[in-house]
Amino acid sequence: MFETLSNLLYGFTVAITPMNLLYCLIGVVSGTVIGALPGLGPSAGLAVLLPITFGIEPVSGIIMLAGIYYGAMYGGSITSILINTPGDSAAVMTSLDGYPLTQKGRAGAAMGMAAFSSFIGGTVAVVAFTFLAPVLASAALSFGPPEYFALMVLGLTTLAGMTGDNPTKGFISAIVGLFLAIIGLDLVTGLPRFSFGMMELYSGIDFIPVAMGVFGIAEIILASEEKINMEGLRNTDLRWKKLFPTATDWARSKWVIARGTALGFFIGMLPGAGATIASFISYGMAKKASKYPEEFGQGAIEGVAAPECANNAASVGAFVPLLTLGVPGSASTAILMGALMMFGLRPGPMLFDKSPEFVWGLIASMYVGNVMLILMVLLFVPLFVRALLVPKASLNAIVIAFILVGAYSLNNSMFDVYLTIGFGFIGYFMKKLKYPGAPLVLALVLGQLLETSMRQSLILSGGSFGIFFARPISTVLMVIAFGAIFLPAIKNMISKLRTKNASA
Amino acid sequence: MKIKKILALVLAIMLVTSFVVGCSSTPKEEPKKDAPQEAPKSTYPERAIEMVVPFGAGGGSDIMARSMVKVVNDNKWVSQPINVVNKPGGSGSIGYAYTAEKKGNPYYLASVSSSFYTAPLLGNSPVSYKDFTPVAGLAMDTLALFVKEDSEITSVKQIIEKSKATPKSISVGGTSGTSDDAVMYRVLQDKAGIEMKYVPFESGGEVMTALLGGHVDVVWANPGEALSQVEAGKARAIAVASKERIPGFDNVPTLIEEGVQASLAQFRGVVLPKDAPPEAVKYWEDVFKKLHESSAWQNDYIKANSITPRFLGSEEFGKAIVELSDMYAEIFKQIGATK
Amino acid sequence: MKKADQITGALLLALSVYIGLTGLSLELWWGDEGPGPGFLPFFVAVCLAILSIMLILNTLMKEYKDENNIFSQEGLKLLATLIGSSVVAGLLVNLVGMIVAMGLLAGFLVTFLAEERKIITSIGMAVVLPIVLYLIFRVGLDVPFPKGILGL
Repeated sequence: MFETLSNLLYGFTVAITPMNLLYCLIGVVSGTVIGALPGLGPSAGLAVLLPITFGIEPVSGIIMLAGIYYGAMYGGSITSILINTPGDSAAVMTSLDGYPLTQKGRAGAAMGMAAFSSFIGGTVAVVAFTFLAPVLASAALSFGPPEYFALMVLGLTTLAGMTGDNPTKGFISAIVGLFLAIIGLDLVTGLPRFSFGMMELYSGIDFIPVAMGVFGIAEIILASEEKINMEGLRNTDLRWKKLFPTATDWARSKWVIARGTALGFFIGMLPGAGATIASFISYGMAKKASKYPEEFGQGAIEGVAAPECANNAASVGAFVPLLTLGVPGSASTAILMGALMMFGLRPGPMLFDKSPEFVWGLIASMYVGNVMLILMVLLFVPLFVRALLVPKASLNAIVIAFILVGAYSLNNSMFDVYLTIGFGFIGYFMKKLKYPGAPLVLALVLGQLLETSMRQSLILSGGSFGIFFARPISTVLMVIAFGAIFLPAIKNMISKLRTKNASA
Repeated sequence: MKIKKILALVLAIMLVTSFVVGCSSTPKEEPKKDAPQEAPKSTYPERAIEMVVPFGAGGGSDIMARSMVKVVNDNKWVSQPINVVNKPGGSGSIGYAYTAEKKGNPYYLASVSSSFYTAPLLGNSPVSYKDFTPVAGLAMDTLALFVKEDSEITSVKQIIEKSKATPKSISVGGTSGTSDDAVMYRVLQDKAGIEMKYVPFESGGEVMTALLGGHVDVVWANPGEALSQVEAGKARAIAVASKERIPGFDNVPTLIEEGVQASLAQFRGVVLPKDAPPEAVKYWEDVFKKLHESSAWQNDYIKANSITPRFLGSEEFGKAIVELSDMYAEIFKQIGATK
Repeated sequence: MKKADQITGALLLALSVYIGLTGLSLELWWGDEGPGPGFLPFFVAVCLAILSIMLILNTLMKEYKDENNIFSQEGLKLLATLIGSSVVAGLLVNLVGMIVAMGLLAGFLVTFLAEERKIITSIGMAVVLPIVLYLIFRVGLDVPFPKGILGL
């Protein structure tokens, strides 16, 4: 404990040199901007900005990259809330309640809540990381294929909460998402599935073109058609004071944030799961635990808080396996690892001993970065919200252009641009025919990991399904998942019986 | 009024832009901006060169390409900027197809790694080595077999014995079903006459985590990938798949020493599109030769990644490519993977 | 809505048959190695088939109240224009480059969408947006856009 504190103090001496503070600021600011651009999330942001850091000192470079990483994680929420176009996959859940809040004229509160819960999630996670990293890293290792499968099943149960008023259509949407997840080369056999001979489909359909099409482009077409009143928006009170969450908002969100942070941090540590899944599960849990589940999707403030604290906590959690084990847990941390290797540092168990100034400088900079992030956001929230005052036609034209350019930047490929346009077309019909979009994208994200982990588990067990219940963690997760599916039904039945008895 | 609003919008966007731009003009970067000011010595290259990496940022090919470009740019060996462009997808085939399309154009280089050889053989790529001009081979990389530190398994012989006693008792982790790892898994099974279980993962990082978590018994990985685990005493190497022992793993026997007649090495290098002009090939051959001889490259890339440096010029690299491609074809035929 | 549900139900049913058949043609089960590549597609096909039949049955049993015209003429025109112009812009990328193509698209869209058209807005958009895109994506992020004949 004492050693950790003194190490941390030492880290601060590295992190708060003027030069490193500047790099941290540059990272956080550019990360936020990139995150806000449709399609460009943390991993794309890191990939494109990586070369810039090569000329500078390793510790400054990684501080800047880390700043880009969590800046982008927050930035994704900006466009989700203001124009219903998630900047990246981890911000999809934020748009479910963030955009309705904007329509109600509470864009400022939503942005403020996103900022505060990101800050809390990020900071608490950094503290946990500082003191518990080695212990937690070994806990994360105990997650093998069966545990992942159980976690994905649990993730899928959050679907049930998103099906809207017509469950059949909600589930159809989810199943189609699952189908999209299948497309591409099969991991086990290398056979192409449903790729129609297109090389571009071999690596599967990326989540981002789907989300940008279904949410972004479709939304713009619908809004233009229905002349969706920007009345709510026009009436948004832009005075500084009005831009913050109220006491009621806080009261409703505090436990959501606490749970979401813990959950996000842990899921972030698991290789392969990451911030997106953390945000999904956090949202699902918040809705389950809420006294007002019916308000979710209509503009519940805790619907913004839940995914945002979870995804920022997860982005910190992802550093645990990277720095303690030398294995990257997500696409973004894989890029960070590449960066470390190019700085001549080998991430792994020895990094703490070999380059303490580097590791502790980085950890200390995360504290600094999170503070910078919230200060900057609070300064700029009013400015961002003002984007809504831009004439609607101009805003829509700009957003479409940015979405298409963002889609291209994803893999430097026109294919993703057409894919985005195609899903915009499909998304329009989905909205018109009342198929919810969220289950589609959720199933697309979870589906790949679900299938992979199931097949890995069954290869290990020689084909026996017993493996999912043979290990403590997966058993517990499975039981929770089944509980989440069946409990509401049982509750429903009991209350029906009661009313029957009462009336009889 | 309207114009005022537009002006406000434009200014807002400009402001946001200036952040991003500002960050790109941090000190000591973009040497490429200064490069063109130097007087070009010959006419080629006359404009910027694209270095196509058919995989995502942060992967093995990306690290090689970026390290390469960094050394070349730092030393100003090339009068024009070289930009690394990631074209991921389709296990490399998209990037390779993109480069091959530029037939005869000497402004597109592509990095070569194992899927350059394997994807066409598996029918997953429309282009093959015949669509490229070899430029230079730079390094050999291989695979090694790792176990967790506290594992009972200490040698390949033990794996063979155990699997003979109880077939399918040992699980082997690796990346997707058509990667080098899977190929070596099947070769080992074939040559030793045993049966094991292959568990594929999405990335090398996940493979290593599964090993450290004790979810699989052994894994195939590039030596460089696992070096930090070995140094930290979390994993042990029990065999390497190269023909000879490799530096950094001097105590680890080769598969051949262990009595399994199998070896595998992939050649990392650089190619141009087919029919590239000979003077361009010569130009790059010289640049890469200088790179190979530089200490920056040897230390920052070769040593740091436990890779065996080996320079081959255009002609020899061309031969090596054909040999490697034939080797994979033979293996795929043996294990019945070719369609 | 009723008719629309019936049509989509039928389309989804057809899709499920296609997915199911393809799933069957891949291997469903691998003995002691767990499910093969065809397993999940087959599972998806079965679920989708059940759901689409439920959807169709629902239309027969449920009362549909309002919502006669969910698709307005104006809406479809908008859809066609936005999607069409985006595709055209995509095709133009190879000719004039990404940045110019997006400028043209935005200029067109703002003209099309605005309630009161102003030539200055359209031209302003077509000129300013490419500059912004250029600054952010080329100068700032160094994204390798396709360049057109103009070399931008």
